[in-house]
Parts: sequence; structure tokens; C-alpha cells
Amino acid sequence: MVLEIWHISLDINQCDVGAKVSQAGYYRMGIALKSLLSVTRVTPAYKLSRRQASNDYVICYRIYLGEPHYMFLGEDTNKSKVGSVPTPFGTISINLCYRTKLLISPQNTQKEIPFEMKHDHFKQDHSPIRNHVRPTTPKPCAFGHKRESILDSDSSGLHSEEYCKTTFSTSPCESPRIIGADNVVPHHQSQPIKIHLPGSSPVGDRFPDFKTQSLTLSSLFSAPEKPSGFPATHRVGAFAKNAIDKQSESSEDVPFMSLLQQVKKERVDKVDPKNLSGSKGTSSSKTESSKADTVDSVLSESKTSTSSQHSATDDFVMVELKTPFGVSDSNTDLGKFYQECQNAPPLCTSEEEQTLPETLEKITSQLSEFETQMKDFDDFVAELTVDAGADTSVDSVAKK
Amino acid sequence: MNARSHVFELSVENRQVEEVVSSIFHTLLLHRAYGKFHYQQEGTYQVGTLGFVDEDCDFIDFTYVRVASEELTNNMRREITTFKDSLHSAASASESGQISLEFFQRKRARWPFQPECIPWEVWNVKLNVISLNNEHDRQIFREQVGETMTEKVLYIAEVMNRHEYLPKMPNQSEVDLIFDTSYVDVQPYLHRVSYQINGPSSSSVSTTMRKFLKDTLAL
Repeated sequence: MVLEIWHISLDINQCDVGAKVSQAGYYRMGIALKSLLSVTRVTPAYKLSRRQASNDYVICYRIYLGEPHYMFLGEDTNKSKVGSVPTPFGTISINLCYRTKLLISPQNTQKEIPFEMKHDHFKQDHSPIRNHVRPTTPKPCAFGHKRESILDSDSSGLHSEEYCKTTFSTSPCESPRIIGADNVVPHHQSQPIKIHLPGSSPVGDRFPDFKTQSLTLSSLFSAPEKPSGFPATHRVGAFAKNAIDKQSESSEDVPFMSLLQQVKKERVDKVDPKNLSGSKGTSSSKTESSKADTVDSVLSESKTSTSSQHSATDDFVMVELKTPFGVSDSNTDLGKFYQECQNAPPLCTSEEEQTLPETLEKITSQLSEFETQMKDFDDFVAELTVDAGADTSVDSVAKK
Repeated sequence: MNARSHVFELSVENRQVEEVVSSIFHTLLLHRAYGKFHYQQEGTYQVGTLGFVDEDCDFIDFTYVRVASEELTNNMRREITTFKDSLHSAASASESGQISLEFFQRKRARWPFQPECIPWEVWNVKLNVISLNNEHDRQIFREQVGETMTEKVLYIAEVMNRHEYLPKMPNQSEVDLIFDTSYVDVQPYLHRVSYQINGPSSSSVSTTMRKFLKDTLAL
């Protein structure tokens, strides 16, 4: 439920040419801010904010560019001009529109249902709607209030979180706190607000008649058990989750990449696994591969530092086990081998970025090369068959 | 020069008088006060900071913001308490009274005359004191007065942002003609509080208006 909308706009058509910015502008801004201070204490939302509690309801705010969405305030609203700063370059106005009917009635919720319908089928990043008017996610206003602001701020040494608790602030806390409400999701990065000049502004492009620039702050009332009735563009949960997912993906990328790099490096440095399997024989390698845990213990022993970063190795617990056929010195080789198998290095072809014609050309040249060496291959195969025939004859002799 | 005048008319309980008047006057003073001016060379000056305090009312559902100056607050409280006591002592069935906050500037007169005081803005609060019989009514009335006060503060904000006539920022030598420099932490425009206790409300309006017209013409 939107409680109040604060709308700051700059009207370049109303200029006070005679006003000196250094003096008149300064004092007028002061008066506008004083009015803002006074008026913030008298709205119904202020009284509600004083009574908010984490288990009851919280009051959030969001900021967006463009025309204010007055329709969310319901039927009974009050509009008031809070501040006005005429300057030679235009008039900055602060306007307030607040809801006077604070009761949530069934009729109200039914009326708001149409707004909840999805009307923006584009992806979030490409949405033409959101590209123009991009509201920031609602952030909870800090709890409690700052009764004696001057005195409180003077008593320095308060922890930042403590400070937030005692401040009724419209500025976002550095670390917004979640109050167990699904619709109140922390957003770690507030979107920067850019005020464009009318000519280059996307809002201006969209509304050619829109000559003023405006910024709107609306206070939202949200109860934890009931999601607030905003349209898809204002739904926070989904957007914020995406943002978090993106963050987690990007954060996972880094350890994964480091692992790949490490494996590559080891391939260069260490023993060729073919030699390992050749020397140990197939029977022993089968035994070891069936005891994955054991092998991994060896692996993690050598990779203790990296295993904490890697999600795949996180599943394994490092257990000190003595393998039946294992020699204590060869543990590193075995570990490497297992790791090579588990984390196959990327194919060389995928690393080299080649265009299609280049690839085709390469394949053609390879084919022609093989054709020229066809005789050698044939000889080799013939040799093998001869050997095989000799072997079978030997076997048959032995059986006899 | 004509002084701008604004009249607020409210019905209040006796116990609410002080808070209603304080709410309005302190909101006005917040707008009409600056930080202390510190004059420097060549006609430049620095403006000091101004603190503010949220004040919760006990008998009205209301919070107002006042300038964080104990001295100014005490002075205003003293004036308002005097008004309240006078209103209370006038044991009339329909008590009403008016208290005014007047902003003025001084004009130096030739010796031996006193400097002339020229008001440029007058805010009148006309109160009609009522008495309620039961607590339920009082509770409802408490909220009603709070809503009325909201309207008044919004009105004040609107008027203040019209940026009508204000005395010109003075030089160091003339600062006493515009501002009250007696406070250490705040520098409000010169102001004074006056009040008037009336009988029935109908007659008080005409008296008030007559007084205003007279004052205005006298200037």
C-alpha cells in the first residue's frame, strides 16, 4: 500500500530571473528544506512509521524517475505543495501527495488486483517500460525514530547499525536489514539516479510534452504476511532475487576459473597420467577408482588450500585412510590422476577460437595429409592383424 | 507597507492550548530563523548551523519540529503559558482568545524618538476553548485536532514557499534592525508575541479585524 508520494521536479519554464542563486537561492532552499522537515512529521505515514515493528509491519520507500504514480494512493488523497525554490534556471518544487484512507478494505484490494496483472513481457534488462521509468527497490525505512536529531548525532561512537535503529531516515542504511518479510528484500546496490536534460532524457523521448524533470519518492506500507499490491514493475522479490542470483553466479565464477587454471598448470608440471596407469597396471587402478573417497582424501590432502574454494571438493571429508595397494609416497601421483579424471581439462579446440572457414580448411588439410599417409596406415593395420593371428595361434597351441 | 496577516481558527480543549500554539509558533519560527551570522570582511558573512528537535505533543496526536534552542523555546513557552493562564482565568462559558506572532523590522528614527517597528508578517491563532464530557470524546477530539494541525502546518509550508516579502539581508551594522541577535545559537527575525482574551467568539472576530485594519492603516 502506497502511503505517500514525494515528488521533486524542476520546471524550466518558471524562472525567477532576478533571483541571485548565491543568496536568494540559498535561503529559499533552506526554507524549502525546513518546510520539508515540518511536513514530514505531520503526515499519517509518519504516525504509522512511529508504530512500526518488525513483526507487525514495516515502511519502505523506493525512488523512481518520471511521473509519480498517483493511482496507487487510492481514492482519498491530499495534495500539497511543500517546497518551491525559484531560481534563474527554473523552479524546483517539492510536492506531496498522501493517502488519507489508511484502512485496508476488501473493496480496495479487489480494485488493485488489475494492477497486479503482468503487462510487461520483456526481460528485465530489455523492458522498454523499465528502461524509461526504473524504480528502485523498496528499502525499509529505519526503525524507530530520531527524537532529538541533533543530540543523537552529536553523541558519536554509535555503531552504524545502532545508529540506523534510532534514526528515522530516508537514506538507505549501508546494510539494509531483512525482517523476515518476503516482499522486503535487501538490495545491496541502490541504483544511481541520473537526471538527464530534457533533450537527452529517455523520459523526454517518451513524453515529448514532458518539460520538467522529476524525481519521486514514495513511502510504502508493507505487512510481512501480505505482499503489497503493486504491478510487476514494482514487485521487488523477483528483481531482487535475480540480482542476488547474478551476484552469486559471478562470485562462483572466480573459484571455478581458478581451479581450471590450476589443473592446467599441473598438467604442464606433473606426470603424464598415461605413464601412471601403465606402470601400475589395470587391476590396481580399478581398485583405486572404486574407492573414490580414499582417493579423494589423498587429493584433498594435497589440495587442502584449494578445496575450500571449490564447491565440488567441498562435499568430501578429508579422512586419513591407508589404501590396500597404495604406497605412501605415490599418493600425490594418484591424487593427480584422480583429479585429472574428475576435472577434465577443456578441449584445445574450444580454447582456440577459429572461424568456420579456418576450421574447414584445417580439416581438409588434415584429410589430405591422412590420404597421403594411407599406405603407412594400411601397413600398420596389416602388421597388427599378422601379430594377432600369431598370438591366437600361440594361444591355441598353449590350450592344446 | 502592508503586513501580511494569516489567521488560524481552532477549537481546542483547555489542556491543548499550549501545545497547539507551540506547534504553530515553533513551525513558523523554524522557517523564520537562521543560524547565527558571522560577519567577515568586505560585507561577507557566514551563516551558522541550525539544529532542530522533534517535539511530541501529549494532548494532541501530533509531532512538530522546532529549532534546537533552549532559550528560544523557553521564551516562547513563557509567552504561551501567560496566554493560557489568562485564557483560563477568564472564567467565561465560551472562552476564546487570540495570540499573535508578529515579525517586524526596526527603522531608525531621529533622536530622541525610539526606533519604529514595522511588522511585515503577522500570524494570528484564534482559539475557541471547549470542554468535553467524557474520555471517548476527548480521544476523538485529540485526533481531530491533530488532523487540523496537519492542515495548518501544510498551509504554513505553502505560504512560506511563496517567497513573498522578507526583509533584505542586512549589513553588520543593521543586523539588529532585522534579526533578534540576543540568542547564542539561533538568529530569528525580530518577532513579538501578543495576545488578547475575548468574550464570545463573534465579537472577537470583528475586534481582531478592526485592530488589523487600524494597524495596517497606521503604517
